Amino acid sequence: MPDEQRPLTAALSPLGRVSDPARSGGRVRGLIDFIEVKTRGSVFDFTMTPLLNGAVLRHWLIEFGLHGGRFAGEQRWVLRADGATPLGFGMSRAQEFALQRALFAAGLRVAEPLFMCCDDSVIGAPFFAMRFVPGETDGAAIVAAGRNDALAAALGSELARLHAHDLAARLRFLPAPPADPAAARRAELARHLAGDVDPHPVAEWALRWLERHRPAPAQAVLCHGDFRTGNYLVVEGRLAAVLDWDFAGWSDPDEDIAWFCAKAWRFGANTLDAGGIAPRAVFYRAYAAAARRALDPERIRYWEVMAALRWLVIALQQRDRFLKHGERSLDLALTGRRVAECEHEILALTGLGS
Amino acid sequence: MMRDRPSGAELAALADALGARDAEAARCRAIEARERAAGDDAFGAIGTGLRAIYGEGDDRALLTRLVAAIRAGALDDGAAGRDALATLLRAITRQKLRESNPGYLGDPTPP
Repeated sequence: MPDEQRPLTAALSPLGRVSDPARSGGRVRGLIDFIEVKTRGSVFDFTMTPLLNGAVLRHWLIEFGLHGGRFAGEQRWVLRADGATPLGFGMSRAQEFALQRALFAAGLRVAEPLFMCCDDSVIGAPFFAMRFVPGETDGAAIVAAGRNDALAAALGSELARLHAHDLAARLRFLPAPPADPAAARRAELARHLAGDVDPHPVAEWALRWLERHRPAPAQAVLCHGDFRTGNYLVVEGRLAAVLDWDFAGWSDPDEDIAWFCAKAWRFGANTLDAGGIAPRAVFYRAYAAAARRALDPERIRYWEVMAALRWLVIALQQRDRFLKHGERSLDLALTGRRVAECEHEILALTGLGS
Repeated sequence: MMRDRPSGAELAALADALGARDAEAARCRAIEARERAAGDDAFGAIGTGLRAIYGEGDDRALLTRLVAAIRAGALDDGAAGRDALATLLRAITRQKLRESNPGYLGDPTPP
């Protein structure tokens, strides 16, 4: 395939920073055209830099100036586009864009979404643009900065605000709220496991335990779905924005709380249960105060078992992106070897650990 | 079969093919080295334990029978043989962690 015809999402990362559209074979030209149409301005001094990508989606920082239009002046935006292989669940970019607009309008701490592009021909995949928010997202770096009760409390309060918002009328594209979120999530994970080629005894035990310990159904609320250290931005120790909304949907609010406290997302700071940054009591207190409801530790333990099983299933899916779909990524391949960590956590949480 | 995939050999081959020399590549090669050092018999005692319960069969067949037993309640509170099965599950998981991420168990962690 001629270089200029290769999709930008696949072709740009190896090129690194692009500052000359002409020299990059014209691939950036389509993006600049898109920006000029949307902003009714004229782009100058355009640069495009790949950001450290997540395991599922790809991101670039674009910096440029605009003459005229409603965005005249210096601009720094982030593009968020589909990855090479879909994970199998999570929302589309267009849906995520719509969700992020609703959240931003509701006053939640998210990056301001600007424009959606569903045309694959522009950069090779659907993407949306949002304002760049500076800050640290690397989970290991955030945890390495040490205990931060104020950050954990801010995250607890922010999560409670999310769960309290009634955005149903603006989010009709989401699957309908389940009557029993725990049963729905368990069934979803069971389907994925049933499709795997290998037997997984500990995962089977988790499914069994989750069925037999299912709590009374909670009223489903809008949940982030991947609320954890690594998916928020920190500036000088303070919460700047919550990121990565592609797994959002209706669920039990305790699912988000448990996911945040899951061992997998403490980045080794295992004595600080709340995302590796604070004791869970700090996070719980802030959430409970903002949500005006007491948290039930047993319900959250239930959802932590679910979290460990869900992370196990995701690890298997990432493994398959390497083994079955040929994505030559060390990160994906190594994630497949994290299944045993999930199994160890499941056994510990269900009383079978040692 | 009791080991998760990608195998250590597959991981090391990928790191070599990519010419990678970073921390992830080091982890791949370390997993391969630990698996090689542990050898094919690393899960031998676990297989023996499973065969004592479920009869002869290769690892895949034994694990498949174990899954069916768990689905039928073999690990539920009060089930006969529960402790023995739980011991085997712990042993499988711990051996896999010793090879893929010994630091998770609190062992000294090479990369």
